[in-house]
Amino acid sequence: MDEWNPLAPRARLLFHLQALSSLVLAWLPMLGAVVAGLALWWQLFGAFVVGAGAFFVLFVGAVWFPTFQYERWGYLLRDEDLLITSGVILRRVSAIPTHRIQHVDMQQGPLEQWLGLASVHVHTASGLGGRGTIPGLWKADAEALRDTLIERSQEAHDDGV
Amino acid sequence: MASDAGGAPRVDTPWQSLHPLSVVVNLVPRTWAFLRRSWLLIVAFLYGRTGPDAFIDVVDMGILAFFFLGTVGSTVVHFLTLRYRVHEGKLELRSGLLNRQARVFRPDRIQNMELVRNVFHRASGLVEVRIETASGSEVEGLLSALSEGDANALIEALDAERSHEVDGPELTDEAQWPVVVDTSLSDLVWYGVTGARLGSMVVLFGVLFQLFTYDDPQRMEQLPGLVGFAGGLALLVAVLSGAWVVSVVNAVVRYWGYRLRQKADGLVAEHGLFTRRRVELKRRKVQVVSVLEPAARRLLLGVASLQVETAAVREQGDGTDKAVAVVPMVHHEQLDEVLARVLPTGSTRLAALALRPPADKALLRGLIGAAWRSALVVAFLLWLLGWWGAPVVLWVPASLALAWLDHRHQGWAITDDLVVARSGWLHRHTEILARHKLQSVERSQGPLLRRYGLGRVRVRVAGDAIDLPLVHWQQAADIQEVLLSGARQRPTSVPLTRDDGSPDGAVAEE
Repeated sequence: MDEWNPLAPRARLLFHLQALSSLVLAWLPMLGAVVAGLALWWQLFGAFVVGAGAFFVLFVGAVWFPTFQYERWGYLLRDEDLLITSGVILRRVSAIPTHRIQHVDMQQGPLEQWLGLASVHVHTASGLGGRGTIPGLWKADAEALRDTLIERSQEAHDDGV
Repeated sequence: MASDAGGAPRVDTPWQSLHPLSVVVNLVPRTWAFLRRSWLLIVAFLYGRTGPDAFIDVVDMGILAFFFLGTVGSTVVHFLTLRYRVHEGKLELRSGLLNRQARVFRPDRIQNMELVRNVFHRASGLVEVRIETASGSEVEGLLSALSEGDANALIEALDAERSHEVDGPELTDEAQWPVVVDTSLSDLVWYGVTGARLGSMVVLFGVLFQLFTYDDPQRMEQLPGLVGFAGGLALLVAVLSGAWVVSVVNAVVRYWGYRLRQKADGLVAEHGLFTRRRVELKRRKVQVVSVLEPAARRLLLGVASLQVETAAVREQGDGTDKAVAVVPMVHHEQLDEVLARVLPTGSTRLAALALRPPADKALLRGLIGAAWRSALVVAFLLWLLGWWGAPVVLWVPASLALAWLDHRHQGWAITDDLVVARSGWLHRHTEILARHKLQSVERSQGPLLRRYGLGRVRVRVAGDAIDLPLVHWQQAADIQEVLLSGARQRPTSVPLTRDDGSPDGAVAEE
């Protein structure tokens, strides 16, 4: 097997920022509501201890997890197929024959735009969902990959179904 | 009249509309669908009142009337605005009053066409035409009520546009189409008897008990005294026979007069007592064929059921099945012949195929999973029933035995043309797909599988996916490579090695 292509080094920062933003915007309000509920129905000190413990676990997860996440991502474009590997807890290797590709999207969220990164989404008739996604590529690399994939998909002489 | 760039005259095909009776024909099933969707609201309206408050009644009635008028309105708008035509080799549909929609179908992208006649269609001589492509999860082209003549004309026009796909001569006379499977009434009765779902009856009885104790919770405690031992036994027999009766009636109503016929390179399935369905699909569009063999059907009757899926992804409900075509009863000696007519690769010899077993360690994982799942169920039932629930402890060894049998009868095979995966003993399920239909291959490993060095391989085609039984992680990588090479240049046959070096064996057969 050839060497996997890693994501752009800045993708590590992207994953950290995404994890911290979801911690602040989603997990903290939820945790606050649970702690408030516990304080009302149980006791203030116990609720504080549970909340602080949960926050510590979530914070450590948000700081550590993206590093492993970054290291597990990789892709490999071979002559006839695209391989994508990902996952820290559930490890996954997806293989997509390029002649089956229906279309390819390139996306940039606000954080990705700021960092000069982009993600490539490969779509087939099987509805791969997130399994055909490669996040955290340099924008130029993402454009080149997208163009290559589109070019190869056009070599197919059927409807890809 | 318009002309194209070359100056040749281009005829503008006139638009056609639904049959005027479509309003009536559609209103009844739509009203029924409305009642099914709003049953909770209706129950609340009828029984939820706590006092004689006329104002609340008016509000409730108003809400129901508002939604029902919406149903009537959408039916009328559907009739008034839906237009269709086959123009310049494409099927065009347009509909909508405020939100207008125009759809264009390329005939070569149509996965299958279905003609449905419910009792109202049959009484009025109309037919519903459903046209499905590989996109989305609903029927993309729905013409809810056409006259039979218009429906046949439409299908013939679309078939004419697709005629370049046909391998052999198209037989226009239906009487000449060879019958592949013809199912008798006795077959359907056996199909129903062997397909009884005890779970649904248990749920039904649970609801009845709930109603029984609705106004007096103490009544449940008096129940053993009321029915006694004989009564309890009679209740058990009622549950079992009730499940069989429901299943038989369902099978007969759904598959009455079942007939699968071959039409050039396509298949036509017709069935149904009240709602008559006719599905036409091209063999080359078939993605996955599932062979379903519940133990009773397999061991007592020697038959299987087939489910044929195309890329037209369906969501169950609204009268549609996940599978495009179902063949309820196929005798084992006939199975290979029917599969050869259904699969896009042609002939296969499923019975003679030596399936490879899953990895040995998959048994340990299966047993551990079965043990903790059954232990949880038993613990819950013991908590619920007390010592009366003691016999359910037997569920733990039974569950372990079933897990062992399941492992022993799992298997997979990759031939030059096909990928085959089999699972289950109680409900044996064999899935078959053509390798050249493969869309992607995925191997994955969670923490538990990593501990055992195992991996899961999922093969995706358009609209569905099949999972092979658990194999060693390295072997999963080998399988992925073999399948990818098959997708590139079919057919190739690469020997698959097991990472522990042990020889591959065939799966046990009864």
